[in-house]
Amino acid sequence: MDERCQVGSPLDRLVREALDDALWSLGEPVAKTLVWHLQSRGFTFDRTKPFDLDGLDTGLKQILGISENRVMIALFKKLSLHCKMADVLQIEALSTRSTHDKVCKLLEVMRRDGVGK
Amino acid sequence: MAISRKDNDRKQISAAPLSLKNERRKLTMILLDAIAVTNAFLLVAPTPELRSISGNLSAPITAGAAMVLGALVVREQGIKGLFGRAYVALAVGITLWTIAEVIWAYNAIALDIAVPFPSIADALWLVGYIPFAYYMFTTSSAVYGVHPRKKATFIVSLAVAAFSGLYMASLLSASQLTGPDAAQAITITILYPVLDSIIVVPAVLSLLNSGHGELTSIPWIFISWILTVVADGIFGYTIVTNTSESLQLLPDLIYNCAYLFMAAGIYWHYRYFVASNKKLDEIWRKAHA
Repeated sequence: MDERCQVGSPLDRLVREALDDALWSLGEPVAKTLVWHLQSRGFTFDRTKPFDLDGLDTGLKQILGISENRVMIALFKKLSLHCKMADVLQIEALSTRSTHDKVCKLLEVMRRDGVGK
Repeated sequence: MAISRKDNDRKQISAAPLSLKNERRKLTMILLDAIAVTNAFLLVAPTPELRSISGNLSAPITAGAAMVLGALVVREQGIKGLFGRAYVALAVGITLWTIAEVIWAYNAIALDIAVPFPSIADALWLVGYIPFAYYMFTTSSAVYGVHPRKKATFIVSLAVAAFSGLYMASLLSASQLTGPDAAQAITITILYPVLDSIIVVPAVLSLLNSGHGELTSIPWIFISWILTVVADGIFGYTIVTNTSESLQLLPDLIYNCAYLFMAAGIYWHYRYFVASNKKLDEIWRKAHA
């Protein structure tokens, strides 16, 4: 697992909430189906374990293909609410990176700034 | 680095514990069987009259199947969230089109009008484009990554616009419609390809982006839309050249395919995307305990 993308508490709670919102934005039944598929692919929603962003990305790609990006974009948007505008704009400007990479970068910044503590 | 990650993803996809490959294959076979059975009635009908009746009856039946499935999805899924709203729009669209098909069939069979065009059914078909457009644009963007600022969007839009322009020009030049209703008939005949060409762009782009993801690899409903556009194109041409009575078979066959593809797509969503049973509620609760 890419260490930059590992999320431990206290950031963990924020990321899980943002993921819930991102999945929920698709509609409740679809969100539940995705949770079920992700769990069956080994992605854990167990709050005692660190949040695995790489696992989420891979699982969503397997289930949704290209539309995995939509969930990642929603996750990025939700998390960016906790960051400074300048940081968010700087990361958004990294046009060559995938949204998954941008979320990782955002998490790095959030960890640096002590967000969630 | 990028390649090795891609390969890794591919390995994991093929080893996915919950492969829907068999389910996809099963649904494809059922769909092909349904298309064969429905269209067989049209192809083996011994007389043109029976063929016409079969064509006029099969369209409302196939569209009705999609409509029932659409209503089931809305009941299970509700109206919230991206998919909730999109499928409500799809259900409204297919309901309008089913009613239009029933009106057409009534005019053709009960009132014995060979080609009941234009009629009140056309108003329903045309209004139906609004909810269909909502569904197509919303889901093509969310599920198949279609984006207006991408190069592919520009190229496909340009190609569709050029083809539509040529098609409409050929409709006007080939038109043999005369009489007091001719202007109205030509206007409606032109309106269909205009609206079709708008919605076919996200459908084609979605098809080009398909093939990924256990749940999303076959864009059933977008294929259905492309088939509808092809059928509309042929039908429009037969209308303006006054050949629709003799050449009705081909668009009828394609319309049946289109409606059945749509039914298959809605069924796929209902069966594999929409989950609201107790077991999944339990999993959701555990995941968020």
